[in-house]
Amino acid sequence: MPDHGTEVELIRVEGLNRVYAQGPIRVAALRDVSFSVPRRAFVAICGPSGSGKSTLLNILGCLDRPTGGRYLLEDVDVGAMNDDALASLRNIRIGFVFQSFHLLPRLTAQRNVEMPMIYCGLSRAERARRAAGALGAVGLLHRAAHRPSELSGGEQQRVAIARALVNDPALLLADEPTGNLDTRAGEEVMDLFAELNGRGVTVSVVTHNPRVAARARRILALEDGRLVADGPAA
Amino acid sequence: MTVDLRETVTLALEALAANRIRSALTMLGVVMGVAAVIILVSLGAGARTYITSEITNLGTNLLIVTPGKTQLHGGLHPPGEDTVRKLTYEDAQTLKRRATLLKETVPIVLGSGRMKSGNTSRDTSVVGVTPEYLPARNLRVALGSFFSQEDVEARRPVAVLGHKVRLDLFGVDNPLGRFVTLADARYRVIGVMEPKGMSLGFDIDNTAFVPVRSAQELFATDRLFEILTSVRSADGIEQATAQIREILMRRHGNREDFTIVSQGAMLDVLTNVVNILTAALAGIGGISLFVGGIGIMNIMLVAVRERTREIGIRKAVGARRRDILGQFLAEAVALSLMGGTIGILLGVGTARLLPALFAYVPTEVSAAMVALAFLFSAAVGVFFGVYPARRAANLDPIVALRYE
Repeated sequence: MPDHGTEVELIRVEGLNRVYAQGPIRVAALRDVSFSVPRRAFVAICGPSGSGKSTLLNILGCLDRPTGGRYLLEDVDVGAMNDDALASLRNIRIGFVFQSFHLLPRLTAQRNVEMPMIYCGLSRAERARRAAGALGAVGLLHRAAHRPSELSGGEQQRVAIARALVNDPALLLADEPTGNLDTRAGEEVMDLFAELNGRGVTVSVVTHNPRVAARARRILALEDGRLVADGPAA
Repeated sequence: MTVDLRETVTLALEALAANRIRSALTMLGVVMGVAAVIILVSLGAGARTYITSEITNLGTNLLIVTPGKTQLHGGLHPPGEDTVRKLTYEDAQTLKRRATLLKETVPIVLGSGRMKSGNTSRDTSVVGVTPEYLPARNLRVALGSFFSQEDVEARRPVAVLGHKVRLDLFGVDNPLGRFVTLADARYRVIGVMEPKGMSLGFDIDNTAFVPVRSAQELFATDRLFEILTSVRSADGIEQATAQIREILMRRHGNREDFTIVSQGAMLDVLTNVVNILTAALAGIGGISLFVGGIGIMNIMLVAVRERTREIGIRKAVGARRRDILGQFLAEAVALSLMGGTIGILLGVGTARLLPALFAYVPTEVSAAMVALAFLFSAAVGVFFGVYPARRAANLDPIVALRYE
């Protein structure tokens, strides 16, 4: 494991296992994965499909619990938390960006960005103020009143990034964020991640696209559920 | 740190507004159910009030003796006793002399016939009574006078006409002293009743009163239709019933071949019938409300399926189980409450309109009924919304996010 010296640790994963039981068949999606990620890092998680990277992302994003090993987010053992505590953690500590954006089509960009704040009880005025700030940060304030269908793919993904950022998370998790975008829009999204990382946001991107992975400062490579490489991007 | 009510309601209304026609059609089921319950129950309540007022209007503390033993609450006549013994004028006279607890005792003969005066004629009910009939039934004579006990005993051919009978036969002319013909017998008109209108299907205005002995002669019978009596005080009704029974049984060879019905018992039996009918009608309305509820459940299950991805997204960004549960439950309750409110307006409106459209359809709407209907429709939303909402709340966010 690379030495991160005195950097403050955000994520610590120790001997992580995730086994899916489908009737009598048991599929190990993650086998004994261990690593740690300091704050302000920009990590790419790479690997072919079926390598377990989505499973790892779900666990890091507190959507799923490991069946073995430990996952500590900001020194707290996530595996011991109940569903509501995990939901709160996702709400205020984690921002998700998905391949297919996952915006609600009937809501405007502004209202989509406001959505996470509904679940932490912020007032209407505060939600509107923060959503406008987040949309400004991704350069889309002028599109606030548009619905997703009126936005380009790149714009939709930037709205989704604004939604992920709006509760000021410790960790931004992206799952193939450029997978549904053309090259230029993809580059713009990655530029945005780099910029956010430069401003101090910890970013973790799951991808099988080497060009995307190359934008990260560190690459974790998975194969058959095992961590097979961990090093700085080429 | 929970989603506030205002936000929950906004989310629910937005979701319903996104599918306007579907929401409206789903609501329609509840609208019809609630309207049906209100209309049917108000009909029942109206009928109860109508019957109560009609029976109370008959007079106070009435006991009615009818020939033959019948039971009010079902049961068969014992075999061999189905020959109805008659009640006679003498029975009534004996009661009048001996039954000290009774105020008025009126033998009644009922018949009908064609009544003529000059060239005009009409069919009319003919009721043979004694003068005590007036105080017993709270009736008054508008013109002339009622016949006397002496007229009864002497079987005089005199008649007192109902308001409409008089108008039909004599118009506005003074009928006093004129003659009417009933089955070839001539009766002298000595009085006209005050207008009274329908009362339990019996119309005083379309009736002619004659002395009971004259009526028996006219219809060639010595039987009475019934004996109407009034008891001196309300708390003496049971004793008076016993007294009548004792006196009449002694006259009838110790057989109870007559039936005594109190005004209260009549009221009880009729309101009982109306209550059962009302319950049945409310049940029918309830079934349609139930079907409306199933409609809500159905559409909410469709909504949960359609919005699986949305549920996944909301959970991913931090919605807890109870947030999702609340959101979908609020949608179901919003549907049923809006449907319920429209149903209440429709039901109350129709219930108010019915008596105006149909003369003998009384309805009665009470605030309690409306409040109950409102609460009931809310309950329908909760009851039928819980299952779909739980399904939504229990979705695994990972699976839900992947749902196409």
